[in-house]
Amino acid sequence: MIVEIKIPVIGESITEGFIVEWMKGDGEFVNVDDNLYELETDKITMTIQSEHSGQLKIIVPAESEVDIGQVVASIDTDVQAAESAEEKVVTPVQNDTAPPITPSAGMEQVKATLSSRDGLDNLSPAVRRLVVEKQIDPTLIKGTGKGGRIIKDDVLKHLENISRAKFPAILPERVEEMPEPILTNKPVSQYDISDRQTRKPMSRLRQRLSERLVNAQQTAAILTTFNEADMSAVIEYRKKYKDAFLDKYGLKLGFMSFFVKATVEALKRVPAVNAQIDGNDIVYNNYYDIGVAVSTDSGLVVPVIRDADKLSFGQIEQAIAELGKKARERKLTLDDLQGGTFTISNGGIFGSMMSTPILNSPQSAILGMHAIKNRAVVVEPDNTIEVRPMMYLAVSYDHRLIDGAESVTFLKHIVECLENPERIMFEV
Amino acid sequence: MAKMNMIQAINLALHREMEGDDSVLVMGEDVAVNGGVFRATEGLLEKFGDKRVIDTPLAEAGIVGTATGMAIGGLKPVTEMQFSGFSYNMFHQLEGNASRMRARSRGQFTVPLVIRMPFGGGVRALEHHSESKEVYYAHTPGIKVVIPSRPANAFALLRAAIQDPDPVIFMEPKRSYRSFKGDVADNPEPMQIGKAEIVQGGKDITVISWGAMFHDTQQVVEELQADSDISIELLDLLTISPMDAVTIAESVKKTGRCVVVQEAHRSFGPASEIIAHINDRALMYLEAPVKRVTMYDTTVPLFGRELLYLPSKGHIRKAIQETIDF
Repeated sequence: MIVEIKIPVIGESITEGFIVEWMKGDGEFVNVDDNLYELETDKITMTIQSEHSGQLKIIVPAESEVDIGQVVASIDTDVQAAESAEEKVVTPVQNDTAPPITPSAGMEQVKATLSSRDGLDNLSPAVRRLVVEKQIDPTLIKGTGKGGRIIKDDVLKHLENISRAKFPAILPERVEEMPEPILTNKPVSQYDISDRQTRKPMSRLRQRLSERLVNAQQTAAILTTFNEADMSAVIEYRKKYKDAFLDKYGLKLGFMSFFVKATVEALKRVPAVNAQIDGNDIVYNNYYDIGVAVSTDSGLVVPVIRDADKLSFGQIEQAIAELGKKARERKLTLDDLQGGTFTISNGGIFGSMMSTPILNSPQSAILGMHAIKNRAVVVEPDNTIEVRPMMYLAVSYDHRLIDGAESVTFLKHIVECLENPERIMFEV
Repeated sequence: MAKMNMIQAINLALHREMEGDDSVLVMGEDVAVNGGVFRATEGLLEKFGDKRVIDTPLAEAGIVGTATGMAIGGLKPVTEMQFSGFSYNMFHQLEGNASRMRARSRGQFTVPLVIRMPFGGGVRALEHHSESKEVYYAHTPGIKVVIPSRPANAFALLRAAIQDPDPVIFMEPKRSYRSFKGDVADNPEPMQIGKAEIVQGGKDITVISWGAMFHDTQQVVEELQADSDISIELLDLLTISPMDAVTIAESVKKTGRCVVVQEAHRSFGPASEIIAHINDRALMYLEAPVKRVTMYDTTVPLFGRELLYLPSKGHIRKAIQETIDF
């Protein structure tokens, strides 16, 4: 059976995509769950697996734009693993030694012959298949079966006879049909590559990312407020509980769980930050789906931790580890990316001191984390100067619905939760 | 390597599994003190005690219902139905509970239960003792149905059945219990449920059988090959469900002809299912229609007429000849 491979429905807003590469060659045998091709769309890049096993026939080559639902390949499920390898070797040989009697005659003609002649309707399925495949006129075959019926062996013997006889007259014709090899020095690439520049097409993910970022810049009234947090307490807790946490969850207790928890507490306190603009309405979200920006080879993606307010530190670390792994393996689904209410971006892992993050629209605010550095700070109440591990924090927000007081209160509460993590526990 | 009959091979498999796995236990009617009416469980009570070798009342539904609970709880009960004809009394427990537990619990629970039962005719027994009703079980999703044909595969497949996570109906062709001996290796290769065995390769015709009929079929094949130049590929189905459609289809693609020999009633039997698989996967390779050699669609007669209803070697020989000459 021939099964069509169609571009799958990925999400309601995705209507087209781009085949980056085929991971299997044309004519190659594929097994169920083998990786077939990499599909890039506006929102996500994913690897599509085969649902069938058989011989692959690629219809749409790599680096082509495709629509959702478009047929891009087919799989002949009748071909078995060994057979397909065998066919690759055997078929050309057969063509050379046993050219069809009438090379101009297609399958259609043979089928027509089969149906129009008398006395041929008692061919067995096996013989029918063979004469059509090998394009043989069955009336030329002498049957040795019961009552002169043609059996499979008769067809095979007939084929052998033909290959011995050969038809040299047909061969030159076939050769002429072949295009002459063209040898030129023209660059194969469509781009003019010099040693001063390297030009690469932007991935669709990056194209879409740029659209969204520019769109956010143009529509929202973005403003950034800064603050700084003394990370001593968080570092202390991490040190104190890192072994116990590792034992229980199999993961390191990271900074992110503290930031996610602190953010949720602050969002509860300042609901406008968790809201978004929809036309002339403001929609307040009563749930806390926190996006965590992850950098991958092909660009930035923001998988979402669902209902972060209901998760423990351990569950948050697990969710982040899982999403990060999926992102690196390009296994994120659209569901993993959609519908966040707030985003946290950590430039600190790359050493950033300070930044003004851009909103992940339609969200109204984003928290930027930065590098922790030991700085000399004045510590109250005695106004002594001490060395403390400090982090600058930035919240960019849409001034259309968040006022300065709200954004500052929001960030200040995050800082307080980080400096006194027990506040997270008591939700005060 | 030891020579033994099938009942000894089954007994040995039970000994080995009970030695190797404390969660394996045996229960059924007369299995403990008497060692089973066919002696399949002989010596188990003495060796493993009455906590693991349990005589039950004459209540098949009780046996399988209890065993289902044990299996869900983590034990591996091997139950015995004294004759397959009595097994219908436990059908409700098997069909209604054991077979559905995996799906119903979304995979949280499985039922590693084995139900052994002697079946099939040819030993001059009553009608209830002589039927081949493997399709009753094979038609039910969630159950595996295994039928060995020789001591060696009875040994290996019973061990596979006991370690299988799902309910396995292990149907023992009682005509073959003591009628011949075969080699059983000391540590034979494990066998996989769901795989048919190509006992002998050939290129003109595929002949498929299982259970006690496999022997009659094998004898006919040997005779035919001795006095003609027909090359026959002989398949022992071994597992009725899940059926090994791939091996069947690949063989038929090669030979283009096929005969199926079953002891079960003609209609709705495993042979029909085999032919459906061939239609699905190998129709365009066929040179002749696939023939079935089966029992008649009648209630098993009294044993005076037994040899008239069982498929005979003559039936098998004729079917192969007709298919070759089609």
